[in-house]
Amino acid sequence: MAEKADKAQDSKLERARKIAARKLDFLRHFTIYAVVMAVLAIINNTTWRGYQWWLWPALGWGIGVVAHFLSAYVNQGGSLEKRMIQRELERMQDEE
Amino acid sequence: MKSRRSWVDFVGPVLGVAAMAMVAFSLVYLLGIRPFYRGASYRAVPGAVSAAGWVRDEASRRFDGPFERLEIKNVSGPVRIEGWSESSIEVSYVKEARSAQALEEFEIRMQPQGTTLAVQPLYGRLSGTQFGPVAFEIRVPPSVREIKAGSVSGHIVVENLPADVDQELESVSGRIETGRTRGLKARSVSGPVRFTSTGGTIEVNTTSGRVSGRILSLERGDSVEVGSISGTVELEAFAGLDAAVTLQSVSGSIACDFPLQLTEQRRNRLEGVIGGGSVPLTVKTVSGRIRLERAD
Repeated sequence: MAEKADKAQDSKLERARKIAARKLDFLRHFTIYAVVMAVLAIINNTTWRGYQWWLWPALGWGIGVVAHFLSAYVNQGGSLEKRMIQRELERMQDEE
Repeated sequence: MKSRRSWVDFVGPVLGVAAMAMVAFSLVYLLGIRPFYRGASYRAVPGAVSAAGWVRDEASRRFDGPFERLEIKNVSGPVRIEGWSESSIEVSYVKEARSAQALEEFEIRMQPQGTTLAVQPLYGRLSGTQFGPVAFEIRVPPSVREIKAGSVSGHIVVENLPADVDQELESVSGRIETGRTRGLKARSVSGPVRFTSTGGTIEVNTTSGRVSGRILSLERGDSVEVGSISGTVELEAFAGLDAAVTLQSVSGSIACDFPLQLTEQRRNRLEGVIGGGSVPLTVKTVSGRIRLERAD
């Protein structure tokens, strides 16, 4: 029994680690995105104020950043996965 | 009770929303450029700013004089030419630009030279992406005998003119539509051409645009020549057509409703005479379908 509890604790810890790592990865990703875009916007507007070409990379990379945000904060092994794990655990306990 | 949430849980969603806003803003700006605009808005509120940040200006000028020829060269935007009973030419336009400065530099030149009025947009020193489309609406008097109109990316529509006006119309990607013409030269790359003709010399060429024409009359000395690479050609001619017909398509189908005295018939070529064969009528395509219909 104690071994099972240890395993469950380890798995929770592992999951918590993964979620925290994803969130920090997203923050790093966003920071790099913001810095690079700011540099491109400055180059664009100091050399020539006309067409805002830096918005093309901002759009493409921005879609990637949004996807990263969704995977880190919205779909983080969310409620469906939790419910399914809970159900499996209950089933296993019933079998025993 | 101590909160279990760290600053990362608060800052993350804020940055996520900021990234979404950046994507949405980029989309609005980049789609708002409209490099291939062919819309047909002739009416606009002067000085109004559209959703994508375009500034508009509308103006109208009249030119008095016995004009016989109108020449207009547009780059982006529709051109509509209409006949009216007054003796002057009226040019109305709506021009668009990215900023008030660009709008000021965006000049519409209207130059009367003898009996010809030439109209043309002139772009300033700023980058081309600063200038938007110009929509023209021009009213011409019955004295005008010749019209030459071109637009790279815009529809050209001519209507309500007397039947004896020669027209030369050219567009790359816009539609060409003329209500009633005598001599017609129309060229288009991808836009369709639709015409109604009362005779004269008809020359229509497209690359992939469909050609639909109604021929109301033809006399000795007139001619019809239509060519297309992949566009379908459909001509409807009056019942008393008197023509030497050549219909040729490399891979498209050929159909003719008129009783044809055949002089040559091959898989991809039909040659014959309708009536006395006084007017040459030639249609040639590479892969486009050809149909010569008889009007009831």
